[in-house]
Amino acid sequence: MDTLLEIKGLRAGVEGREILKGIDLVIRAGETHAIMGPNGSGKSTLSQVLMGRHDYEVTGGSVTYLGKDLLELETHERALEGIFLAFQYPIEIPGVNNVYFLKAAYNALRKHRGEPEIDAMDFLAMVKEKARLLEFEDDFLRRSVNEGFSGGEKKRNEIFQMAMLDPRLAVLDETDSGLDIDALKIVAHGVNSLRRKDNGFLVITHYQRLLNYIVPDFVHVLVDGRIVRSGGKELALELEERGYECVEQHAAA
Amino acid sequence: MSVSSSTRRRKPAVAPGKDDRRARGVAPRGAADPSRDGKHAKDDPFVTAFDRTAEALFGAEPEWLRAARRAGIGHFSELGFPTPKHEDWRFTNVAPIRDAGLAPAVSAGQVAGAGVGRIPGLESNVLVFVDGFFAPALSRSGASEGLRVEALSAAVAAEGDGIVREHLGKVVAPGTHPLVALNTASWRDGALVVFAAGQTVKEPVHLVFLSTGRFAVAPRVLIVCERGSEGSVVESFHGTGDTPCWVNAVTEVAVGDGARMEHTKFQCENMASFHTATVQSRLGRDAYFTSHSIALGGLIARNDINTVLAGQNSTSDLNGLYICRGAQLCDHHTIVDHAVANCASHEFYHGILDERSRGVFNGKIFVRKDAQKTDAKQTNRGLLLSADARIDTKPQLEIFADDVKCTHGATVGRLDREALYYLEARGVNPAEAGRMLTHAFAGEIIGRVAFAPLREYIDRFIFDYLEGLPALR
Repeated sequence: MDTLLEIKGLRAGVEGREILKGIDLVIRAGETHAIMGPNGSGKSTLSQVLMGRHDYEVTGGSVTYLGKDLLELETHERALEGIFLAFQYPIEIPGVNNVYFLKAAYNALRKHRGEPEIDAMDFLAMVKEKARLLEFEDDFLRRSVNEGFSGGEKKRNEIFQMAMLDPRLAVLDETDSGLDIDALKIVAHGVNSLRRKDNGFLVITHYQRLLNYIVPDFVHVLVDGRIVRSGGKELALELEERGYECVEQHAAA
Repeated sequence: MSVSSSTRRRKPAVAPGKDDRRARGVAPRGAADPSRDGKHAKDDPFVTAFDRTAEALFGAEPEWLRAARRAGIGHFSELGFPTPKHEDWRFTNVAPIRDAGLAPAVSAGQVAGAGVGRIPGLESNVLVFVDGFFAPALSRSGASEGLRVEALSAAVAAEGDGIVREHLGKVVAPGTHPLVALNTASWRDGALVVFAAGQTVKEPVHLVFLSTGRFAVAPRVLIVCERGSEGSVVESFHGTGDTPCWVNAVTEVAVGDGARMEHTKFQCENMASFHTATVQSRLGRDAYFTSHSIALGGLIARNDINTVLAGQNSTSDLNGLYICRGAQLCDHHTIVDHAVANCASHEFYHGILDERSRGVFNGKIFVRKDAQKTDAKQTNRGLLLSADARIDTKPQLEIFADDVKCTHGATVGRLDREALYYLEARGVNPAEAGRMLTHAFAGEIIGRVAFAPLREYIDRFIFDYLEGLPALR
């Protein structure tokens, strides 16, 4: 059970256009992996394919999660099995209350594990504790999901939800984009406090900046649908210095 | 919902005089003409039934009321039972109602328990009618200062003339709507609710109409809000059992100067039944009226919700929520008549349609020549949960004043896939995600109900109801 996720030769695309052209990646429990790459390299496609978004089509390869064929599962089943995607662009849902939504999600998890629904007071106490971690005011709990949230608030809400649902494997899709440095620190602190020996993180980012705060064990460079280089955290610094061109050339060579 | 939206601002006039007949038709007064009653179509079953029974049923009533009934049957006879050839009935074929041949109820049927249709928090004044007949044993009326609630037949019998004569048939125009005319001729009972001048009554008066069998029932309600009063009335319509009934209801609401009135109609007869109803309000100066039409029941349901802003600085808000499934058809026709200057109106209608059901929304706004500085807004949104469901929607703005703000927007869409995906990505199953989004869509209308216990009751009822929709299971 050491391996959380194993991706082999994954090919996928949208509307007949292939974007991922053979991805191989293994994430073990306790590891944090970063995927970096230029715009259009397929970073977000990878995150959406892992979550099972309807309009993406897998054309080859396999994804095994905790020994199961992940690609056979519906989106909500993947979530119930412990996969969490922090969205790059969180959706606003007017009329659906934040806490109500979270409680439904939390209880769906409990039900999936054969546990009874959580007591309302216990749930609220837990919500308040996790909200403090992300420095959320109480009033945000009374609002609709992401409605009228600033960009930073939406991203913090993603990590807040992650803290509530406590996934085995979390995929963070450009969670740093649009964040100022203070918000970035809050988000990173939230993520770091959740890192444990039995869970894993896949952090997708365009910039190295986030990785100063969420320090990865491995860095992979994605170019044109393929991982062209993998290394330790120092690879991120090298990319920051020399840009993606060098690896692109490297890949072409 | 991710649906396209069209909102346009319309300022100047539609050619004055266009469709002037219809424009005059909504004028609430002076339409009744008892002399017409000689023209009965003798073969019309409704007319024959009236002629046969009127003397026995209504012979003891005061002459003014009997004259109003004769005028009503005269208008009905002249207008005829609605068919799709009538512009106002183009989308809604009510032939099945006529063909069902449902006879007027002659007595009240059996009701299993006293609790049907009751709403927690609405305890003090509850009038229950079974098949159109007042059921005192199921009703409660507590003393509230400034409030008069009683069965309409009793009010007529007790006072003869007075407030009933002053207002009954004066807010609505029986000559413009065949089914209003038929109700005017044939109503057996209903309610009189009077909010006395200057009085505020917080807890809504609840009128419960239960149908038990194969009958036609024509309830009549008169609500009078005297100058400066404030009140709320809820009308619930429930069918017990699964036999078809036809409720043809008329409610008149006279809102006096400076009065505030909330009217809620909660319609959930069984799926075999027919419901046709008109709620007609008329507002004085500085008055406020809000209508909530929550429509769930019936195979064919047609609601006419009309308001006349007859005094300056008055505001009417018309809200509606309809949910249809199976072969249901739910039709809302609204008419907002800005008769004088400086008034506002806001309409918010949401429809939710599953299976092969159909929704109709037709929103007419008149802005009369003198109604300058009118601010009228109409928003109508439909949510289709199945590929076979359909909504016909038609805004009709007839503007004869030149300094007005009138906007309307109509959208029809499906559940937002992005939002569904987001919810599912958190572990919520697709059916529950759909219910959450649909409930939120309904909530935009339910949230407008002012009295909290009523709002919570409706919200809970709708939430449970949505769980039963095939698309959300």
